[in-house]
Amino acid sequence: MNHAGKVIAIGIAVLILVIAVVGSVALSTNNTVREEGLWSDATDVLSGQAAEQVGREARDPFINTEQGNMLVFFFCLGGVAAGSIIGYNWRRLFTEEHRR
Amino acid sequence: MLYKSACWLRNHIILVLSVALGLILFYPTPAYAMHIAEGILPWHWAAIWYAAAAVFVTIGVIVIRRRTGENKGLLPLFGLAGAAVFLISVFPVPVPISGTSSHPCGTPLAAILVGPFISTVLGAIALLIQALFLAHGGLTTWGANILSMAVAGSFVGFGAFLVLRRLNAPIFVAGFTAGVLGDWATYAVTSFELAAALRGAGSLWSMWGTLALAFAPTQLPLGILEGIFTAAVVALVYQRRPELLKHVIPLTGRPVVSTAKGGNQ
Repeated sequence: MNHAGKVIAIGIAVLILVIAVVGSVALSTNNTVREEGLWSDATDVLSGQAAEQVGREARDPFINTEQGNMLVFFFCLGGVAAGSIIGYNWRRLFTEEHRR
Repeated sequence: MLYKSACWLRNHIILVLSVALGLILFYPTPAYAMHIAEGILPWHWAAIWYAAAAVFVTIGVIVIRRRTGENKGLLPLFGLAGAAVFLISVFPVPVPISGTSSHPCGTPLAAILVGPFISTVLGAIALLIQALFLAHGGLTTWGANILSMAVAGSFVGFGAFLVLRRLNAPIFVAGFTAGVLGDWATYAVTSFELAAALRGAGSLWSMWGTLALAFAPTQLPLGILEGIFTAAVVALVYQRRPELLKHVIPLTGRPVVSTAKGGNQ
């Protein structure tokens, strides 16, 4: 039973991989997001297009950081904070605890 | 003495590399509004998704309180998973085969590490910070984004991992499948939310299908990336601290490296 289950599980993973590869190749020629420009964001483009059809559009965020260098500042700050938290906790979990 | 210095150096190199990686990943790009942007959803749909998300977040907060009350040693794991979800879900990945970009979710990985309800709360916090300060998502669409990325990504990823482990799948295979399906589920739910709110007089199912198909060229390959990343991290965690994953992988027949207070419940 264990062996059969393992075969089924690996079969599912392989099937997913095949769907992803075949689907990616088959659908790459008919990509509505790409028509908006190279490296356009899929959610941005598709939600914008869907909203436009019913007369809606995205509006500025409540705290608009898209001014001058503000977004750069917050991206850097977010990167430093998240990277530090990951590094600090990784050390606590996998170095200090491991050593104990 | 030399050994101590080497350990100190290694630990600090890991810390510095993590900070540097964060800086590289956050290198400024034009403001892509990943997640559903502010103002896209009509207010009543925004309220419906808020209400649905609130149920999961409330349960998640209760679970966090209970589990941290039992074991304070879990806090580093929650911190690690939360920061990882924040970082991964704001990372725009260019997909060469389609010429477009999108972001992975990180919530399937977090769900495997800490459980799906806690992962939902971590995802909600990450989305709130992104909406407030990074112009990604929005406050009115926070509920919808929680439901798609935090709830769907966590529960589908966690469910897939659990089912495949029950079938005795190798950890890497189970982690890979969880990452892929969690990522795809996120975008299936995003498509549904958009279709439900913005279909006008058209058919819900037809618009849902159209949107899901339009996401596919970007998300199918990106799902593979998320699957590989999820599998690699889960395998690494299991190799070094198997007791952290004992809620999804029984420890039977596996040596426990440490039983210190950091262990999972």
